[in-house]
Amino acid sequence: EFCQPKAEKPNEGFLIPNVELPPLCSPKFRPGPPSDLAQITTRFIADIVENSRCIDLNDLCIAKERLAWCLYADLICLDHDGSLIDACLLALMTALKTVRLPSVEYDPAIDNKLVNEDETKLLKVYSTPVSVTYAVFEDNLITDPTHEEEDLSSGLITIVVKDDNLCSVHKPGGNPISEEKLYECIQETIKHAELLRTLIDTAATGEND
Amino acid sequence: MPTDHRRIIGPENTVPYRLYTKLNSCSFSEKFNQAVKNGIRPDGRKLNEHRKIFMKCGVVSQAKGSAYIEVDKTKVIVSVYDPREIPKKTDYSLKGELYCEFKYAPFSCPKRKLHQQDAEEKQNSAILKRALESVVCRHEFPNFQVDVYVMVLENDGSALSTAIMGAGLALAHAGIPMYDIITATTLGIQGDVKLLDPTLMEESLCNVAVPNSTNNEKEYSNHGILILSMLSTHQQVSKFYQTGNLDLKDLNESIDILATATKDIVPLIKKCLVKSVTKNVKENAED
Repeated sequence: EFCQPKAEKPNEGFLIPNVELPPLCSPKFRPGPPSDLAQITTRFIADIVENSRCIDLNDLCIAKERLAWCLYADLICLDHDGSLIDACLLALMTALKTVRLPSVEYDPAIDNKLVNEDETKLLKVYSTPVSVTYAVFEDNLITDPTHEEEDLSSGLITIVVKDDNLCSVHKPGGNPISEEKLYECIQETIKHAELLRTLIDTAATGEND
Repeated sequence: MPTDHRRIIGPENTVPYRLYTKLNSCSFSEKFNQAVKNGIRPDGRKLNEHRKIFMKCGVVSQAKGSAYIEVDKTKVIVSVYDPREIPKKTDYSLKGELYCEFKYAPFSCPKRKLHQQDAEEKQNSAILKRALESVVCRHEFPNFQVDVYVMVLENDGSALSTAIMGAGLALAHAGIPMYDIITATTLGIQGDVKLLDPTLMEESLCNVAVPNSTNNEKEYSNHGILILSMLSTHQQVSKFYQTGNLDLKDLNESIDILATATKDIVPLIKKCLVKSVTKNVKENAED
């Protein structure tokens, strides 16, 4: 959708992620305002997008201070069986790689916008952060836990990796784990990230052709 | 809407870009003629031909019963949860309750929908509840409540009738005792043309009131949307919903068209249920 850029950042558009956990995905969620988990996940995804600089918000600007694109990324969970953040991030990255924005002619003098839906171009995605979640059980770690395993574990840890570099680590409370364990997790994530990235690329190129 | 502190808020005034595409220079009558050329619609269907349907049970692993149903581009996912105690009720009732929630995903319609239920969705939830109440054996779970959640992932017309069918399928998959198989179809009427299972564009055309030029200007010709949901073996109508303007004699014809259309869908639902049952039996036999 179109919008006016913020006064303090006149050159930037917006990308608004929103994670929704509707009651249909799990018996734990009841209708009503977004639960804590939904809010935490939304904030975390927004932070990852900002910190990893996977898209350049300047690309979304059409006319400085007047018109910019506002991309709403609504992530709806259909079935909650563990590793929510991994799934959200995969979906968001794949979707961003297939976004086509129509060309816009903007006349600032008369505030006239003309959208040409036939000419679209792909949004440029600079990097692909991917994540892997682990469940902590005393001293052992389980990769990609299901819902049951998450409930029984004493802590969760999510590692986000971008192009072989660590992007962010999310550990909401739970049992403390040692440094070596953490280092092991990061190494394993980097190995697995390659697979996830090829998956995203195949899916995105399949769609764009 | 007051500021929502629980979600990330974007800029306040966002406008969908589709408003600014090159203005459609066709008038309404031209658009309508384009939509129905000699009894053939743009996607190659005849006037009373339903679109292709795809159904699958058991898509949501966390739910007791679930169904995914696709009618060409319209995609709906339904999940049903176990009977649980009614949260705010102290007196005992002999019949169980149904709690239905109908929701469009924000990306399902051309204009983005909000995360909260708006009036149209609340109305559709009520219609869904009344349609399902007559088909579920409510005396089997007195004082309990069964939750049915419907989410429309993409809306290309007839979302509500697709949702009713999906909900019936999900309830059957969940093992909630029911009297019959429930099916539903939508009919769009504009003037003399009756379109079975309209797409989103056809639905919007049918919602326009065209004044009758022969009589005085205050009279409008037939237009509107009708939704009929039926129980197949009992031959009973569970819900009939109509918007718009319709003559009585056309009403009889329309109900006949809808009734035959709903009968045609029943074998599909039966096949889908049988498939899921045989799959379950095979899996249990292997253990």
